[in-house]
Amino acid sequence: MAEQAHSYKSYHVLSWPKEIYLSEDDKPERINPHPSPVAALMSTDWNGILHFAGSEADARSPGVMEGAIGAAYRVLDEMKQLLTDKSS
Amino acid sequence: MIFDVLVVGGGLSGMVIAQRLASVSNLHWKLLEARSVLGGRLANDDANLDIDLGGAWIWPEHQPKVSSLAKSLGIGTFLQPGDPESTRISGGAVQFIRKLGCNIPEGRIHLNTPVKSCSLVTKPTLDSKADTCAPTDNSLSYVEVRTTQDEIFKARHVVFAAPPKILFKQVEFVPPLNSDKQRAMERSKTWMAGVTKIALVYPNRFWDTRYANTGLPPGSGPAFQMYDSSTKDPNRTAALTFFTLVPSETPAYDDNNMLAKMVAQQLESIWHIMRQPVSIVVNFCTAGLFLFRFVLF
Repeated sequence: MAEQAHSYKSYHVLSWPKEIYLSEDDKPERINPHPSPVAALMSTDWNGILHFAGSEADARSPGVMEGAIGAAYRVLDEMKQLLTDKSS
Repeated sequence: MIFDVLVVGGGLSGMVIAQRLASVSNLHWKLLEARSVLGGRLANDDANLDIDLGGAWIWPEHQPKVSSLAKSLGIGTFLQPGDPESTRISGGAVQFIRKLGCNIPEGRIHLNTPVKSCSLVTKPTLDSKADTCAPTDNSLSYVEVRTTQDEIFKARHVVFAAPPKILFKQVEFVPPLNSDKQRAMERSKTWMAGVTKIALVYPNRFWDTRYANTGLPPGSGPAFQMYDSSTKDPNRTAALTFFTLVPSETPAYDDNNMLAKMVAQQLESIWHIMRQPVSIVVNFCTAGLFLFRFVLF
């Protein structure tokens, strides 16, 4: 059984450290710890003109898919007035 | 023209926003994505085998938003083989990106468009004696976003949906963001950024899947964790996926073929522990990896 480990018919690799728009370090020496919520990442700036979504900016589940969606919903809420005005 | 909203980043977060923006009839908006593909940290293999090479798991019991989004988009889910605590997405997590993009009109999304600066433009008021200390009136201001190809997009609102650390390093904000935010962005650690994920695809599932989702003993090879990444129907794709940390000074860093061989070697060498219940296997690992095992994606 154990030798069947070598019987793979294909392999598929994605090296996230080499994705320069996602990873800031292409030669990591350790795996980042799981993120905790950081309030300063969530706040708007420039008097409500700039908004920050992305999983790391979620209040509850940063880093994972749930957080990506949560941060998106928060930003949509920040822009609620604009979206309401436009659809009316 | 001045857009109502500009979204920077087409991962899951940016695409959830884009889908909503597309539903507002009179809204002028664009999404700029730096890479040649949408999805951010969600990506499948390039051979159409439905293997996740990015985020893979959800935990519906604790994650109401992702579960209901899957339902509303008609995306199926299934339990991780051998681990009823975790759930996977039928067809891979990138299904979210495909479905969210379905009703977005042509021309709204620009790929290969990295942003390099973001500047606030405040129109001077007609009254030159206006109190400059008064709060800025947003209706007179807009943001000028400049791409690395020096294309300029103007917008009333800009949404950044990219890893904070990347924004900190790659986008110049004029005026600067508030200092607390800058500091938080600089310190932010992007989840999964250090991981190289490799899937080995086999002719059949020859392993006992109950033992295939596990941390791996430190020092046994480049992988520190593995799981059964077979599709819901293992006759379609039978695969094991490994989370590896590949040191840049080793040849495998630039040689995927070698990495595959090393991981297969590691799998062979730890095969005996795959015969034991997961709880015993986990004892080989550090507390950190134990945590990793449960919170990953």
